[in-house]
Amino acid sequence: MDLISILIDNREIQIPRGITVLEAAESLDIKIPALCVSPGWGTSGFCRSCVVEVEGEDYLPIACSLPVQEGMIIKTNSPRVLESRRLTVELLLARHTMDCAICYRNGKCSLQDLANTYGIKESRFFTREKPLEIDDKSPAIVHNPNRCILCGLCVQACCDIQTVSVIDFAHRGFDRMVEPAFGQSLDEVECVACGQCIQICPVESFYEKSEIDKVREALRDPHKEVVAFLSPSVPISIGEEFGTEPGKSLSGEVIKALKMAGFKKVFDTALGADLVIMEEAYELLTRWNSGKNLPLITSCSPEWVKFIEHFYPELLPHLCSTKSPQQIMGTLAKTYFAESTEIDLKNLFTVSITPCTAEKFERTRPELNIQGFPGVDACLTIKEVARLIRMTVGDSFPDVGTEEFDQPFEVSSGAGVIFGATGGVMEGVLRTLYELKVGKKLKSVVFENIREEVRTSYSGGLREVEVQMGNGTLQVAVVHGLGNARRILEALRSGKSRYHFIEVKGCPNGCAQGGGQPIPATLEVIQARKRGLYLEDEKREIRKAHENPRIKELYEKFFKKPASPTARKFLHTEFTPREHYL
Amino acid sequence: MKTLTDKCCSKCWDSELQRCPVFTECQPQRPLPHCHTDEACIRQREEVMNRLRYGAGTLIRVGMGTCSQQAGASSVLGAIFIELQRRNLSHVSLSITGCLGNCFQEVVVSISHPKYPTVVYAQVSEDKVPYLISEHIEKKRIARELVLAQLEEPGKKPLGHVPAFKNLDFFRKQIRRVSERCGHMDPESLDDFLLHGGFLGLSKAIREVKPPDMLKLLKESKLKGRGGSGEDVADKWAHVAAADGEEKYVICNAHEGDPASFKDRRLLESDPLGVIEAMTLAGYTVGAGKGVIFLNPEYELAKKRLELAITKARAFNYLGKEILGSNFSFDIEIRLSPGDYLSGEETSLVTFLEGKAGVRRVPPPLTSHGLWNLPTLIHNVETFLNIPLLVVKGVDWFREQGTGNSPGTRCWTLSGCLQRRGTVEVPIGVSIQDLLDMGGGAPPGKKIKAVHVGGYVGGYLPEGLFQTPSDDASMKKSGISSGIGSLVALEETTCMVHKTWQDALFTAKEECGQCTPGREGSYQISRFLEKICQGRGVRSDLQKLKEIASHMREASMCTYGRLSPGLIASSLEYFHAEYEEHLQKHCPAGVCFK
Repeated sequence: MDLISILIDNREIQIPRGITVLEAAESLDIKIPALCVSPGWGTSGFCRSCVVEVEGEDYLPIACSLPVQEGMIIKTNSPRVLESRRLTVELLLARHTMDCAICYRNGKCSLQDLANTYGIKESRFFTREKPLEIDDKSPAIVHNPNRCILCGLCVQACCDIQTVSVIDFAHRGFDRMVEPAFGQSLDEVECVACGQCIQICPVESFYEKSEIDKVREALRDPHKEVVAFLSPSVPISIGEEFGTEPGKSLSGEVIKALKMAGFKKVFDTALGADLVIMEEAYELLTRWNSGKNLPLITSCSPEWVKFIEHFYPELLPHLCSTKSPQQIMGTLAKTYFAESTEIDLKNLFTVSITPCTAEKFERTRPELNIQGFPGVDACLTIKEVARLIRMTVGDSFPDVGTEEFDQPFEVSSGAGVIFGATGGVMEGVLRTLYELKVGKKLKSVVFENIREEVRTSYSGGLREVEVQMGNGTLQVAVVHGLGNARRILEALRSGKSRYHFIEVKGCPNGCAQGGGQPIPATLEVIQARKRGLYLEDEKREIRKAHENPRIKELYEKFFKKPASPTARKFLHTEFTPREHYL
Repeated sequence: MKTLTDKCCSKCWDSELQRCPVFTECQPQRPLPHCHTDEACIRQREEVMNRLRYGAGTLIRVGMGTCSQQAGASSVLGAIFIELQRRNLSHVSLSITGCLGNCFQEVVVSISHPKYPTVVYAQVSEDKVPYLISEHIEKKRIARELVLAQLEEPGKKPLGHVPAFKNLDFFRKQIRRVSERCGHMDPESLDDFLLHGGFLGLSKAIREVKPPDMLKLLKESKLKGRGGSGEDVADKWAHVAAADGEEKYVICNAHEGDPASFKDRRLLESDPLGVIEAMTLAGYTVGAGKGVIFLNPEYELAKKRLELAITKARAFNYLGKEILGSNFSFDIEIRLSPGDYLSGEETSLVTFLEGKAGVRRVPPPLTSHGLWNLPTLIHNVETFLNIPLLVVKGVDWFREQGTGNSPGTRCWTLSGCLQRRGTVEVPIGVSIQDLLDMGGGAPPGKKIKAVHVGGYVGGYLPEGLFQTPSDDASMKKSGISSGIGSLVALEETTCMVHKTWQDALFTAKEECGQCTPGREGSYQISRFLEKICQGRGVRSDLQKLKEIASHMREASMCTYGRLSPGLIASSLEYFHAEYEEHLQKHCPAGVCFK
């Protein structure tokens, strides 16, 4: 490799050509603050908090986008540099709302950290003359431009990574802000509510629309039977909010805490995922045998469904018509469970707890209503449910004790558990499909080659695998991140696709990097969350959806058999082409 | 032979299919001795040239630039036409020309005759036209009321009692190089351009100077960019020439966003073909195939003339495929800028041309990754116009003027509290006082207290610093940039604090808003100045202003962000007393606190 030598803070190092000064400093454990850099996501170079002094330059270049050059002499903490950084932070704070007391990011905010580091006690500058309007019309995502520091990372996430491109910079000078075109609300544009803007924001300019108040109101109501569905990802990430090790499952603790908060029942959403696997496996088998409407594309990621409705409506027939796991849970609760326990639907309040922000939008879809009631009445993200739990049991949550899921939806298979991992739906479906198609037991349930590595959102995100099934070969693809999904759809549209089955997760790295996951999440944390899911799978005795006794029972008692008319009526939905504005 | 470009006789073998290599040189001297020496051809050519110079006997040229049109040049042109018809003066022809630069004396009319020196009349209005025609044309005497000067022309005896053009106060110290043709030539005529030495540089380069030698020539000339940044032209060209790319671009930055500058407009309007020649020459040197003129949308006249010039240049193979019979191809298109201030910054210009918002983008440099990520050469209009001159007249001639480090001439726009406003071309390094003298100083009864140099990337200089040379290096020592070359003389009644506030408001509004120091810094500066101008200022505000200005200079993303605090910094430094008085709620100029 081509090595060059540079001098950083009087320490000489040999480093490869082409890397930035910021990366070079990191390799020496020299910390340079960088508000608009998110590892692996690229940088805009706007914030100027990473300025350094380079000998021979009369201005201060920024470390994040300055490539190293032979013989460079760099100072990262000279008085001149520190003074410049301090002013940058002070200027940013002047336009910031300073509502830290009510901000989720309080204590884990990049701007707050810098303000403390540089000892800023008061703002000596002019603040905004009047606050900007907060956009809270979308059912899923709120945008508060008053907190924005204009780093542009959300624009990168929306336009470059997710290719949804509903937000960008508007206006110039001090009026510059991030917003959808022509100052519209996120509700009025093609926003798919993936929440990647929330995840990448260094402050909290974007956040989920909270439904905690709605849930608390239902919990206070003595006539309401409040029921929760818990996604397998939730117990794995929630500990991060309470300082436990990332990836460690706190399933029993969450159930116990929810019960203490007043939930009557807590069901396992992985059971819903098992049903999705059953339906999808049958649908895939039918299409594979007939060769019609291939490839089949999964539909369990709500933001992905909205994406294809907006941008590729003509490809909707490829989408599997099965509802998403939480909507299946909603349906089960409001039909099977309500009937068997004789609860009036108007007194049954269902809460889905997920790592997803798009589900907040999904639950408002009218086609998912059951007898006039929404299948899911409220949707809480992990961040929100952590707040609810903290309200109830305080910081002692990890030691609160455990409880089991409630009947009749308490048993799930490992296949349902790994649903949230990239490649998880695929693996779950293959475990069932193989035995359906070949008629023999799988030797090993693990399909190692479809398990995707956790990676930065700019790299990869598409995995193609051939799976041998008896005398047939199934061509499958696992894709995550909507930008990657768009590439797959472009290939499909131009007739170049040769797949039978495609799994799509709207968020990069799947649900482990979902819009409702705790912040901040480094790649290591995301990796731990994903590993946590696979560990749960390994612990299960039942690892295939069709072997789940509850699933067998549900089909026997209620749905007859997979893909039957009853199953179609309750477990499937339809999609609507949506407007594409540009 | 009706025009210069027509064949003189059948011995001329030049055709569209095969260009004669010395086609350009032949035009004004046809036929060249090594080709043939027919008397008839020489006679024909003389006739055409006489027609160009003197029309049907006498030629009246009306200066038609934007400034002259604002002064009523179109009406004057119409009135002259009608007057000539009415008096049945068929031996008098009428034509247009560009702008001499003396905008305060518009409308300028010059009358040429084969026997007498050309007489220039100034401040001609519609109602004075009958007088002018009757005196000069019919009575054959100078129209005393309107006369400005006579041009010095070889072989003609100067007229008595008419001042020589070059001795006029406004022109005496000027060295007209890039603006030499302005106001003396019909900007819409290819013939007139060729007659004035047009395309000689391009033709010479293509025949004799290989691109590496062109780069060497530039290196020796030490030519600096005239657009404000003062970059080394030779370096920039060498980078573009060395860069790899399936296509390369040459962009002429004719955005001229500084509201106090119009010297580029004048050059574009008066010498459009000159710009095209220079860009083509640049394309030839760096190996570019495409040129773009990034034009201020308000410059409608310039656009019209450039379009015409491009059409004419294409027709005679100065643009298009295989230029002048070489294997070099180049073409130019005109693109209108969005008309704001910042799009003139070159990276913003490129992002705008790519269809995005015209805002600054981060490195790599444009010379390797410019428009569409391909190597791109961007210069200001004036910088380009120096190139053909350099090729034709050589390095030694070029370096006769200017300073050792920055040779040549520079155009300035003079405005504000001056008796003579307009654009001038002077050797680099003349003092601010020289420029003010050219402008005639303040009108009677008024006094100049300061100058605003370089627009929104420049700064203010007090009277005590008027002896400062105007070259970039000296300006930088005074803490400001000369920008695109605009000088506004500020009257004694100007409140410097208020003036700085107003300019800071513009600066803050025109900031792209990308980087923190630029966006927030310029906003805070305008707010603090507002506070001081409204009598709420405290002493610590001055300290904060200094702090923010130096922060912007050090940490902003682009040149604009780094240079625009020069306004506040120079204002604070040189007019500190006025700030102190404002803190005591007293405005010495009587502008604030009314």
